[in-house]
Amino acid sequence: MKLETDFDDEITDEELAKIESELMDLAGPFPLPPTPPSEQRMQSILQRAKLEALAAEAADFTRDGVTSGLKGVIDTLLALGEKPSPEDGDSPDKD
Amino acid sequence: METVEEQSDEVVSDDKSECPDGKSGYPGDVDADLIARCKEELPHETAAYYELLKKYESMVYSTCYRMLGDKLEAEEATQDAFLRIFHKIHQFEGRSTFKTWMFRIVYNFCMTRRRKLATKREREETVGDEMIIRTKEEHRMAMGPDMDNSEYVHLALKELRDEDREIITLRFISDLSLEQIAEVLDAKLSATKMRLYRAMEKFKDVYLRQQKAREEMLNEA
Repeated sequence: MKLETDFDDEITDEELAKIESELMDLAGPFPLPPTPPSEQRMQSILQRAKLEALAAEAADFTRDGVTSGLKGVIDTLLALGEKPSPEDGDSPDKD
Repeated sequence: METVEEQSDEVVSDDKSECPDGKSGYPGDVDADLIARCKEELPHETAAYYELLKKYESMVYSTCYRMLGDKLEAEEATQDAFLRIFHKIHQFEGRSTFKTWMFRIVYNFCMTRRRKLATKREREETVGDEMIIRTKEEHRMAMGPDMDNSEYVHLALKELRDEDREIITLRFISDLSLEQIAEVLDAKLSATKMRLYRAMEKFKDVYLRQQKAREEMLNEA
């Protein structure tokens, strides 16, 4: 969104304060009071935040689990690769 | 400059303003202790985060409500903003106050949501993203003599252009200083002052016009 950024005429702090004061005289509860806090809304945010954190941890755990699982498979495959083949004539299976 | 859409999808950086020591947070930030605790505790312990929620939820919700004009949208924007804070607070470096950083997130979420709402409204062939009271009946109902003054203020705010309502909301609902508003809007201080001044003038005009209409209606009754 493009915002106005430059002006030839500057507004002074006094001018701003004056119109703020006018608005307060004119429109009573201006500035408006905020909506009262809602325990229900806060709990909803908190619960969702906790769930998302838990989901992130679970995703990390799963990723780590998969990584370590894959590492195990690779280690096993490597070990199998190093295992002498039957053609070497030295396999314990031969016996 | 990043688009608003991009900003709300990415971590909101707090590097727009200077942090004199660069380490211990923004000087005089009243939330520094809470932020430090959040960084230590989250995500496993949420006591400090809950303190932040209690302190700012109402203000953030009110800001979203004034900006979006819809309670459900405001609730969702508030939730999105606080979840972003929950997940990204460890990236907050204290180069601005926490409140400024938080309201940049809130503002960006509201802008994104409002764009989506505007698109939806356009699709539904309504008047677009200006929240205008459309029918005479609505207008008559809205101006009923039983309303209190805060409702008249709300009514006048609704008739402002989005960008005027935004800046008035940031100043009077979010309770931000001019410097903080300038940071949130990513604008120069002089431009922010002018924009706020003009928005307040417009609000005054709308409020007086609506007040006159109410008086005329009462006289007719």
